[in-house]
Amino acid sequence: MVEFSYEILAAILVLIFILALCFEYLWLYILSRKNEEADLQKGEINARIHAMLEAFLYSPTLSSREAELDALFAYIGEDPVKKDEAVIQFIQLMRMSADLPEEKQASLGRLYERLDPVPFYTERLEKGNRYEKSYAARRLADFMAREKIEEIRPLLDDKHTDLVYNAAMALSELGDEESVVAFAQKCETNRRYSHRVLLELLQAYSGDRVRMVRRLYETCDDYIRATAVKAYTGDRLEALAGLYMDGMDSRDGNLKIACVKALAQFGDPKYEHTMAVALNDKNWIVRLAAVSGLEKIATPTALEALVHATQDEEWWVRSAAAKAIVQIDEDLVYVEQVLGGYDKYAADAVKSALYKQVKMNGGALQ
Amino acid sequence: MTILNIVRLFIHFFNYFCMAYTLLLSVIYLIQLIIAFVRVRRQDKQKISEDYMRYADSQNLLPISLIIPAHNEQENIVNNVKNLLRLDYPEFEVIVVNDGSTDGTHRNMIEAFGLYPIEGAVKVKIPTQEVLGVYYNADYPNLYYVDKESGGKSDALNAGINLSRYPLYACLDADSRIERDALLILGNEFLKDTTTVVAGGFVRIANGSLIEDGRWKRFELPKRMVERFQIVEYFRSFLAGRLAWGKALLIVSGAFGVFNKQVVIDAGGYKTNTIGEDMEIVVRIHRFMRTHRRKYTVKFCPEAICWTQGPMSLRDLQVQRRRWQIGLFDTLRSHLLMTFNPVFGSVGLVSLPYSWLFEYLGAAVETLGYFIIPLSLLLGELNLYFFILYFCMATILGIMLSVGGIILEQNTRKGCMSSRQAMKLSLYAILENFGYRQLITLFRFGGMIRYRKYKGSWGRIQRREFNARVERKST
Repeated sequence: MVEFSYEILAAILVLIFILALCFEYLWLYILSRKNEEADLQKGEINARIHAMLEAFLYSPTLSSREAELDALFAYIGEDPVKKDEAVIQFIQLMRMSADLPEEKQASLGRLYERLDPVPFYTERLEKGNRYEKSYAARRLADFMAREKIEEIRPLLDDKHTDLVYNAAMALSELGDEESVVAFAQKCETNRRYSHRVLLELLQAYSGDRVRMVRRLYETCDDYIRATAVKAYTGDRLEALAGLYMDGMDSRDGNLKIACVKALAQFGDPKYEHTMAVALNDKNWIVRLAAVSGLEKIATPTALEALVHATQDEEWWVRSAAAKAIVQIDEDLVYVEQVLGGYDKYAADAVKSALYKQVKMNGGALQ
Repeated sequence: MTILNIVRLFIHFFNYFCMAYTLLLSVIYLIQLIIAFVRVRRQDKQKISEDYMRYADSQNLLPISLIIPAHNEQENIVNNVKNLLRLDYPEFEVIVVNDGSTDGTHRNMIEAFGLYPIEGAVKVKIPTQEVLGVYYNADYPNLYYVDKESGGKSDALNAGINLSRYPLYACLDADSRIERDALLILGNEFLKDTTTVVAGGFVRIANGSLIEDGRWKRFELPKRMVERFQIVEYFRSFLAGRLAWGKALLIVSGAFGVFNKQVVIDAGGYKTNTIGEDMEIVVRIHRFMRTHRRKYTVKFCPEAICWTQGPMSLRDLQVQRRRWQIGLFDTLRSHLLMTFNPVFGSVGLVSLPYSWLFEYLGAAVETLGYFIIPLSLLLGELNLYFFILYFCMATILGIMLSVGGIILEQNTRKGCMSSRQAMKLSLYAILENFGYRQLITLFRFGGMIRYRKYKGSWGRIQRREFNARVERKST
């Protein structure tokens, strides 16, 4: 009797499993159809909006442009997916707008008025889930909606890292100095984000960059200071030269390297002595950065310092110095000096640089 | 007690054990599938705010060295390197390591890219077999080619690490095709979370798919049944399975994974006398990081796709599965002290015991079952009705798991497969239970018993035919 009931139980279980399997198959069918349709629909929306925007931009008269615009907005209607797609395509057009004639740029202005994206994304910022809020914040930043800074700021206090990251990026793009400084200060203690994220954040900053570096330099630790210096090295901010010189006296290797690299970017002979001093630093990466700076300065005294650097104990420094000499010593005076010198390693480094140069130029030295 | 009685007793208990084992395994798989669904749902919501594409043109993305170990790859190597050089990634280098090939791999590389030997200091952070030369051509500034004495795939990867300049490296199989944004997705994981030490992509079977100019274009079902079975298997085991393990993941596919180079060097690099280097390195990283009490994360990103060629014949499939089983045992044996060791947290208490009990020993239990269950039916030790019901239940559970894997794929990769293809594939989820699965188990069991013989071999799998078919299709 007991065995019999076990068998019944097993049979019932099998039946339940069969039902579950049928349900799973139905689920797969509905889901795959839905995905297929959504994919097609997405492609269609994308293509249609693209075509309508093209028609709008290339219509010959004002009235025909207005008619195309009406048709576009009739198609978009109240559908948020279509509107979002139109905004994405509008942003792409805006990125190319510098190459467009004035008339087309005016048309884009008109399109912006009709799209009115700021209220659309503000609503998502208020009502959406965390991910939608993140997305809306970034979109509002794309449109430089500075009036929304106050609404985005509270998101920085959220526990969700994705939302905090996107809010910080948006606020940086909008030039909100206070928020960017606050975020950087948080990163002092929480090193979850790579310093490259901070670099991206600072490089997106649309406010006064000199002021930003100064504030971070005053209020943050050496890690953030070095990141701030690195972020704007390419900008060659002369106003920060003093700060860079100050940073070179730091005990923090990263800050020192960042400052040497930033000064090196200027390529100004007035920093030659500073670079020459940096060549004696105990950190080889600092010495390497100094070599790069001296290469940019390229004066006879800089070349002499580079000759000295070919005797460095670190291969990378020797190699970079040799490469720099080969690049800038057109008369080959310094090249010959190293080749005829006593230091075999220095001569080897120059020979290797010469060999690479000749190979790269297909047989010619310069 | 006669021998027959002992046999009967053994069979009696084995039957119960086998049933309990299979049911337990199915329940574990079901739990894995549910966890994977929850994670996919979360990732799906997150997708809207993912901004990795914004980093596509940024100089702030971490540069990556792509290391491609090659051993007798004369047919594919040149085309594959050319494809990799066209990758959309801000800063990367390709390092091809020729591991003592005996065919024309070396000649083909030198001739196709006009490479010449260069001299330069290479810091040997991990000892390897002798490097015979490093080659370069300024026309391909981000390509380096290393020719070295044969030492196995792990040794080739170690040589690539020694030469690489960047903080991250990706190990790639010579015949893999990475999707355009796959490296961006994985690279982004290291940016947003500095504790990330390994990020693995999802390796999918490319057989049958349309590949143009080395890039995957469209999913199509392969013609051979053995290839279709593998697609279903990959969704079930590699998508659902890996998603579920989360931070306790023990393996990142050798075909596509990105690693923090310094951590790998600190952990001692790849173990050279193993063929399961992809699993071994991840377990080694777990061991190193937990021993040194360092915070770390191992990630699996199903959105980062790498297309690879699955074996096209049963013989090749046998070679592959045997190799996997040997690699698994090698790794588990090497890190035996971690198993059931609370110092290693979820890795020591859950992942490794699971791998021993179900991934490794599962092949032996199932194989024994194939012989003992029919025997017990013959001896009348098993109620036929009960056996049929049990068999139905186990099979249906197996089908449910495979269909679940396809549903999961439909959630992660919307629109990649048409509904027709998905439904067609789901039929193979049924068919695989009648032959294919049993064959795979036997192949794995073969790996267990022939461990000594094959533990040092690269285990070459024929790829040429597949490539020829794909290229013809693309033209």
